Amino acid sequence: MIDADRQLFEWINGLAGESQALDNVMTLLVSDFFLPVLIALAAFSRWFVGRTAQERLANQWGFLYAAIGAGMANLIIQIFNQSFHRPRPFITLEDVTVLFYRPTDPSFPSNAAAFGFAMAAGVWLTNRRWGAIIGVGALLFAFARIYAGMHFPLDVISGALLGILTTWFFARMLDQAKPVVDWAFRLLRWFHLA
Amino acid sequence: MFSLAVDYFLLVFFAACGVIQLAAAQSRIGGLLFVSHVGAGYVIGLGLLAGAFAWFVATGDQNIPGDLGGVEGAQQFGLFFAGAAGAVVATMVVASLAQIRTSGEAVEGTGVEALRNQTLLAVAMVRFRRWRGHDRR
Repeated sequence: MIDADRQLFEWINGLAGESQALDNVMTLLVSDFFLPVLIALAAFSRWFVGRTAQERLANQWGFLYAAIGAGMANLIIQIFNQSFHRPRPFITLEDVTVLFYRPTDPSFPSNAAAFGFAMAAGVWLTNRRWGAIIGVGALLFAFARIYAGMHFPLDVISGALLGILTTWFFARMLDQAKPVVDWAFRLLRWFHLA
Repeated sequence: MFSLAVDYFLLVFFAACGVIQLAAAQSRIGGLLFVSHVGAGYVIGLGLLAGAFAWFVATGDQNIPGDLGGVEGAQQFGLFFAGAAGAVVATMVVASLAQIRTSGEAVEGTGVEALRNQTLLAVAMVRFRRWRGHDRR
């Protein structure tokens, strides 16, 4: 499995340097501030969107699922990385084309993929169309991370699964705490914030 | 221009202002629009969103490792929520001031729904008048 992971990484990362135009696109997509901000803004926009109060409330629950899922996935990775450290591809392999700065934190699981897919999953639970749109952004971000030499494919796949499952789990937890969340929404509505 | 954390906060703040304009225009929430015209809401929203990213890119390469002064994941998370929350407050204030002469209809619904035809300031004034009227009786 590790061999297949390495071979797939070498194939994807081998595309880097072949086309300057594609490298420029991937350098933009892999940025810490482009797709992550767009993904978070797309989820945030759901807070205000809705033809009716009920539709808007459902969208607000979606944003809540997404934000809590992404936050918790990040926390789980931080804790997991205290005891497990998989080095980045550019450390373990030779001839890796690196299109980004060289992070010093562990490679497995990918925090970037966990964030993107957690956001997509949260929104997906209440709005399939927007969940899919954010999912495409998360997929591009994850692919760009491999292309740029930041992650092995297994890091990205495990990060994506962790993000989706964490969001699903905490969404169920939030559903159990619905009376408390409803109270918080009523408070926000009093200030016209929800 | 400023430190990376401040630049990132400003990026999120202005981009979120743009996103709120787009969402308000799409959902016809007139009380959140800077200009009481849906088409203008889309233009202003797209302008703010694109402008925020263009400005951020123009400040130079902002991708810096966390240990060399970059903004790390948890810090990005906090700054995003601060920027987005600031954008919500700023939008309500700017929309209220920009549409101060617009006379709204009576307050209907609660929360954001009440801002469909009126700004936050107008809703607050109606609430205040009702409260004073009730108090006098």
